[in-house]
Amino acid sequence: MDEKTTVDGDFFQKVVQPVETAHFGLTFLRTAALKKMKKPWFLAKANADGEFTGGHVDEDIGFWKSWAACGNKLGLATHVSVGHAELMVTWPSRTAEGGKVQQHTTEYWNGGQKAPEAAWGQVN
Amino acid sequence: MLVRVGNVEAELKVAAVMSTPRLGFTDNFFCVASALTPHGISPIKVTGAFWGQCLQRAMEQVIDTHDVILTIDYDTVFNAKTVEALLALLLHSGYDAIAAPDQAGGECSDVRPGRQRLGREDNGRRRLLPKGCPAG
Repeated sequence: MDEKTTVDGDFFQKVVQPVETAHFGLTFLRTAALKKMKKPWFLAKANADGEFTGGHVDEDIGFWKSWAACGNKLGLATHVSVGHAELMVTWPSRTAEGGKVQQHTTEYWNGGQKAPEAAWGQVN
Repeated sequence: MLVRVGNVEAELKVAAVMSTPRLGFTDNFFCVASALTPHGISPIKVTGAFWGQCLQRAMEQVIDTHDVILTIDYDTVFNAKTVEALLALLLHSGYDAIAAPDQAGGECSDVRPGRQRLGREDNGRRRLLPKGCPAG
């Protein structure tokens, strides 16, 4: 197992690994393969309760399921990564190195609008 | 776009497409410009409320005129060398599509479409997740 991730270390032995789904952040697709797919290409599917709160299929995942059903192969480049721009909140800190601590905005909103413990001067 | 795999060169017609919001990260804009300009690729963007519908419309514009489509998200950070490397891997590997992993950081609870992280789920699907970040 990789030290810092949930991926097995041997996953990176090959430069391309087969995967069932991916993202569209920086992805190459052959148009010849795309032509095999029926439209609509991006279709979401609700769960058994008609909801999108778990057990559902998002439209990007629906795309890759159809991609595979047409006999197309999707690979993951194990040694070529891309960055993902995200908004972070920087809080002043009297204990953290550099005098600041950062927090993802999702954590802030899902955590009851509370700053990290290392943040200084917070009124919660 | 000219691609070199070992001693073999190939000229491919590459289209870059994006489904974008009206407002976005300027860092991404400059990545797109600086990464695609050296390859002579002019990106196509479609804006609307529905991500998948917009991406399909963009792909439909080029499917009959290009060999390969490059999809780009509005928040991806990358450079020209990454584009070149991924395309070379697509050709060399024989796969029909190639994606680069984007590692989840503080976004563990973000489940928006278009951002499937790679590692291992209960069903054996591979996803790349930092330890402590639940697959989901």
